[in-house]
Amino acid sequence: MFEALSINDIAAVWLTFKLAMVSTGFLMLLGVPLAWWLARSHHALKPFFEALIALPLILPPTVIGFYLLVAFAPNTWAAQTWRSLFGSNLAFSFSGLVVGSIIYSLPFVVQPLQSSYEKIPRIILLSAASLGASPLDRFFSVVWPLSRRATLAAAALAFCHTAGEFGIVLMIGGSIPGETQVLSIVLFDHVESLNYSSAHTIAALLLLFSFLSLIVIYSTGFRNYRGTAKTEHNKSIY
Amino acid sequence: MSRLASHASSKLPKADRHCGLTVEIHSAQDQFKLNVSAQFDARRITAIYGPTGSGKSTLLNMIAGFRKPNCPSQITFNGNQWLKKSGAAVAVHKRKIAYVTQSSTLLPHLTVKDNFLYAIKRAHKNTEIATKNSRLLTPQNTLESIGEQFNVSHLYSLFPEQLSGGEQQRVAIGRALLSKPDLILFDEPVSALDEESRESTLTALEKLHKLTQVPCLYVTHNIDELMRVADDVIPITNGQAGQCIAVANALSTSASSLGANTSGVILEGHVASIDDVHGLIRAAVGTQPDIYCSAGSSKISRKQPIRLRIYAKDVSIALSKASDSSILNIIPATITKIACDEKNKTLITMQCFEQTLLAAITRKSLQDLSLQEGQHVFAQIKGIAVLSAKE
Repeated sequence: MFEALSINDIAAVWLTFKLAMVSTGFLMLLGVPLAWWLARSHHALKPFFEALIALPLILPPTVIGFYLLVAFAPNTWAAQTWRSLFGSNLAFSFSGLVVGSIIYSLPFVVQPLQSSYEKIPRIILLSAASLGASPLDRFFSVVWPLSRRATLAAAALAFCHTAGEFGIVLMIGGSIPGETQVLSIVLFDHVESLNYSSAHTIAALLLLFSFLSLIVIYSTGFRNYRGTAKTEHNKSIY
Repeated sequence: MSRLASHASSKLPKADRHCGLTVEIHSAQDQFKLNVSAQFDARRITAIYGPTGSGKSTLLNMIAGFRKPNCPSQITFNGNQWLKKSGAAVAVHKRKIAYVTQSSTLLPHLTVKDNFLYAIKRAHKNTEIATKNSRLLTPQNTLESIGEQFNVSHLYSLFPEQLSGGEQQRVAIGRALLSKPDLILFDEPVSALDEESRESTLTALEKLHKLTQVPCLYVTHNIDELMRVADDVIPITNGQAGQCIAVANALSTSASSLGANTSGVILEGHVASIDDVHGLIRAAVGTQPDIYCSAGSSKISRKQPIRLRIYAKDVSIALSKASDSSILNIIPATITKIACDEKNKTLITMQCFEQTLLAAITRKSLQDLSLQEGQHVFAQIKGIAVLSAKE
């Protein structure tokens, strides 16, 4: 039933891993300040941004993929700016996939972070400020340690969600081996060519990976903001 | 002479541009208006006193910089404009304040020791004025000595969540001190505590002020707390603040600005002896060695200084010394002033044992006994509260 991975399949595994890593990196850089702003802001446009970020949760990925494909067309403003900056095309490229993945997985990073930041009592941040901690100092000395688990969970969710994306990649990737042919596309290709044993291997691989990742995420107990140090401490006392 | 009475006689220092806090705040939100124009004397504990919902915490938050008034306001502390009428404000972390409130402000992810170190690492550099005014920079204010003085050294390795309410507040006060603030703000720091923790926290607070003489603002709705810790008071009702006056002055009028039936005096003395059999303290105040008061639950030792509160409503007047009365404290006194208000209440001011005493009596009693200023009478004191038994 299972067939060993071909060289082409192994390249797809590596590409999927690379795409997930790079996207997660950018997502965290973008998501942390964005979530912090959303958690603290009372701006009139906050619901607008929240809705915009949450869109990929409910839109069919093909819709996002379609608009990205249109935006990536060589004659558009976005594509031309990109070309003048990096000298390459966005459509049917690895960079294009990264851009698509960031949009697609953004809610999976922003939402857990935002809810974790919102749980931090305002009075604790204010009293840290009164002790002389500047806003940046407060973020790294109070917010960051209190939301460490949520941050880990957000990164893990971003990674897994990106690794499993299909619809957008299908629209803007174009199944170029080593460039845009990720695992979910390879699986689709195998099924189309009725190569079910290879499809089984890849499907099982993705299933196992996703399931294990979720177990890891849930076992970190990211809902509480108390660190492991506390738990161990409790045990030593009582 | 009692400490507070001495403040009553000396006028508050005039507005010194470089010393103390000047506040002019106007704010209106959801039908609630806050109008405060007040000066707070440096080096003393000033209470902001009023009922729940009167705007006292809002005022404190605005002084701290946690909230901004929505009408042009200004706050000046020791010559620094924290808030200008234009709306330009000094950021919270640059105001050199410390803030202690009823809920825990300790950092939940750090142990007690790390909470202390957090403050030490970021300790404010005191301004010249504050250094002159306070003794913040003494070597006693190190991690070890603070731990001992506030009796929290045995808690160093615990997290805030594992502490009792009183312990949390003592740690918070110790941490406030370590950050070397120019001003400490207290927002009902003991109102969520049981009596025992309340006692230990207030003792810590008094110790803090005695050690450093840092000016403190103390928000409370509790008259006993106010009289125990505060030197001055700003009464506030419905967002309207009164003038900052000495607590003794606030109490010594018939229509006390601190509310009905709060006219009275605060006396300072020391414990002459303890009567364990009857649970009484014999206190010496001024030239009077025999004032009996109930020992209550607080730990009291001989020679210890104490602060006593006697409400005017608990003092009655007799022309002769009754030998068949249940009242323990019957003291010869001389009437110095008789004041009547519209409600037929009369406030008698008396001098006895070189202290002032107030008695609230009815106008009928005044006429029946035909009391005159200068007359020698006996003051019968029915209730005395021991406000603090500090070391």
